[in-house]
Amino acid sequence: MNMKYSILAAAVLLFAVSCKKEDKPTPATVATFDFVVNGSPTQGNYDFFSFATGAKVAATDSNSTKWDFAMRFETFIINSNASGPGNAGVQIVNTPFDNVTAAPETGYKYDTTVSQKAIKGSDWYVYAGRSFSPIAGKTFVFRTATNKFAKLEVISADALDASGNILSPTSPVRPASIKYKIRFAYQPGGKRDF
Amino acid sequence: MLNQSIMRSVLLLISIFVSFAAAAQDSAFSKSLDEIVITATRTERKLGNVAIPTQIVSQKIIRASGSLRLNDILQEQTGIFITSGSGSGAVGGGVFGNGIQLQGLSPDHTMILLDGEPLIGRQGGVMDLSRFAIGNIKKIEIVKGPSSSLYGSEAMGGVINIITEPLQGKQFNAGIRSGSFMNTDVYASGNYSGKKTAVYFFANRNSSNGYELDKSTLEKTLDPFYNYTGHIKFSYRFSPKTKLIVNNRYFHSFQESFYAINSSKINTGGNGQTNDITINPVLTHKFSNKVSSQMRFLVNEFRFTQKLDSLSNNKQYYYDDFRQGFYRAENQTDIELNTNNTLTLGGGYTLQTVNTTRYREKKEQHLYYGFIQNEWRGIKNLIVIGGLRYDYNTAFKARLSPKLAINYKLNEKIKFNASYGAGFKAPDFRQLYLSFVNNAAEGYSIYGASEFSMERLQLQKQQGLIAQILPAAFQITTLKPEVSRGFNFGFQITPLQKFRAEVNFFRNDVDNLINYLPVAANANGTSVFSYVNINRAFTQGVEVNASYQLFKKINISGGYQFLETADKTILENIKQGKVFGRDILNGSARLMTKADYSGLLNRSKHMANLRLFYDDAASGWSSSLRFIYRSRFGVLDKDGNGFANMDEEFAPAILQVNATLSKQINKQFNIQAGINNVLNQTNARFMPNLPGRNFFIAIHYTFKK
Repeated sequence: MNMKYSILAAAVLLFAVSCKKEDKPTPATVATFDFVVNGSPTQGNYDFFSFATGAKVAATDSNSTKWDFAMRFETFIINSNASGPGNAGVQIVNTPFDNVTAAPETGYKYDTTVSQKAIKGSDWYVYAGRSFSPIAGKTFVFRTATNKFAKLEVISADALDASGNILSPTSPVRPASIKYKIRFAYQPGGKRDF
Repeated sequence: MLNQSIMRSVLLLISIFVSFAAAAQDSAFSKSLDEIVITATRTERKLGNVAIPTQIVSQKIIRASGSLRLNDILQEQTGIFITSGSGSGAVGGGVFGNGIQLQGLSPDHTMILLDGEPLIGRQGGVMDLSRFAIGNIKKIEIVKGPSSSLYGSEAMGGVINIITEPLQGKQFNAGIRSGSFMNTDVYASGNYSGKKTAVYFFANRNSSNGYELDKSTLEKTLDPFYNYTGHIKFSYRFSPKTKLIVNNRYFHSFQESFYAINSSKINTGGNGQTNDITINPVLTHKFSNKVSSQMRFLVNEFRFTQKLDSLSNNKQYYYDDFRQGFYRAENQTDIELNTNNTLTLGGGYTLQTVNTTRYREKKEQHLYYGFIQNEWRGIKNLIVIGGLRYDYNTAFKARLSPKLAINYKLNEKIKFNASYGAGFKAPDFRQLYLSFVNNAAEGYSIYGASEFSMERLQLQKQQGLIAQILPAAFQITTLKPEVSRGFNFGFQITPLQKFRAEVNFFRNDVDNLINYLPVAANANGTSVFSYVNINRAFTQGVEVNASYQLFKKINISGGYQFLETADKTILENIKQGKVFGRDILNGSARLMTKADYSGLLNRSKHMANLRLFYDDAASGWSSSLRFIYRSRFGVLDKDGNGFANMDEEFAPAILQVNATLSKQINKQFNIQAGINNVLNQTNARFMPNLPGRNFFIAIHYTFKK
């Protein structure tokens, strides 16, 4: 008898637990953003981005946890360790953005020194002539500066001249800025699900 | 953009053309199988007895088409794709002028000969065909499929041999042509032959104000230019058995260029200049009726300089100086062993030098080679040709290139051809010796395989200049030649006297293709590149050509090429489910299937042409109407998977229509007018070499004695 009850109780409990698991967390909102960054590989500021606001962060806030990552030309820096006061980390997974349903528990990398950065160009784009193309199916998974999770894909990259026109790959003109179209989903609750 | 109204106007044009027809004598446009060709076997053979797919473009066709430069006439031939300053990658198009693709192989895999001698001055592997005037051309022979067994490196997709006017007769020609964009072309040529000596000369000046296809850019699509071509050829007959021909060619071009660099105004300008000099003595001696021998010497020096300065303070923005030398001595001996065998033996030495601002120092290569070929006619109606060539180069490993070709005549109406050949392309100077650090712009650096040094990378890593050495760096080793195997199988049918058709199936497998890879990451995040033998590709398809003589005065010819190409590595990765792509630019990434794969960039799956030539010798009127179609072709890789899969990554299909009308006034004067690109089809970004609708008028004078 006791046994039967305890099985029943366990079953009820299990049902309740699995019900609770099926309760979706606050869905992460998916947004796209045209992230226009400094086009010089060596000179000038990085441009900073925050997942929480889905927008750029002023360079004056670079010594804060208001930003998660920043870019200049094609270089990423991550807000932690060598690059910032935050606790951000990143990894690139070979799964299309839509299919990344949860952020991995471990495996996040950060910039260990100025020259040892978490993300290398060859991880996420191919270089063809003077232009580079983000590789489809590569998804960046971030732990943000404040320990939330976000996923991101770079959809396109266009080199722009000083007046904002797209430069052709064969143009001898040096890009003044690079326009990245990014898509990202941010999980504000601190959960790893997207 | 090939809409209905365009199709209607095409039909109208054809019907206007056909209505010209009347009955009279034969036209000279039909090509005879008895015509003599030389390129396919390096010996003079009748076109009908050549076992290798060969086409001839006659002077008559060139003149009737009103073409000016080599790219104009070649782009109208079946299966020839003129690349134009877009696309990139080892098997892509190239950004250096009007290159040529044969059987889907890129410009650096096609050999271009002038009177049997290789041309130099390739940039980024591409030989710019607009460098060549065609007023001195007698005919062009196009041989498809690998011919490295005779010609060595680069003869992988095929060989184009430009054959200039022969030294015979007494003649003087001059002409002037004026057209849209202030395009002006003036030429004079002459022939004198005496008892022992003969001379031919050709002089040409061509200039243009250039044109603009995209009004939104400050730069012109084609900058203004002028160029001069000089060609003097003379011969001396020492005896009935011994003859010397000396071929001399000079080319100079000057082109201005202006750019708006990080500015909304033109602020940087300069010019590019090309100088190309060739001296080519050929000594022929007939030892007997059965043995003849040729000594050929070639000195060819090419120089291209480009200089760009800031217009406000004259500060140098860019400077490039590229100098190439090509020096060759070669012997070829032909022996009629007996009635069934013709043996060809040859060998030579080549010295090549390159000196540019992008190399550390002047580089040179020594090449020794020998070749042997036998043609066997032991069985009636069957010709078998076997050939072998050995190339030894000081910069890379030796290469042996065999070839076997069979021609079988079933009856007077049907002939079969089959051939197998190996092709190769030696690593070029840039792939070996480039040493280029782009300090000014993106900060990347790129090293030829011979300049690459692991020790230096490791030292730079210790110094903190290099963040990481990538696994690919360990693959950098001595570059091997790119190699190919090509099969061709086809037949020619002549069911009616007036109708002729040729069909040729081809397949080329290319291995060891050289491409650049990132080998290290600089501290600033940019990459260090070097070259490796990495890609494998194939091209396959079928080419069909047909010609028909209508109403005796009209020759209709048409051609079609179906082409499939692939990077084998990408195909394998697709099979393994490792390749993703997008369907639209901002869409979601999804797994790519084989059906999504469009092949190598810059290749049209379908290419077709239809050419109508009308000639009435009695009235002196002649005319031509030519349609050239290319289906869409991949030009961009926006989603990083190595091929074009979304619409934005393709250049749209294009139909070009060119027309001419000429009148022979008397024996001396001919007036020609023409419209090129009648439908005004342009693509500023991906076909900048194709101007919009343009007109010309020309007068030719001929004096024959």
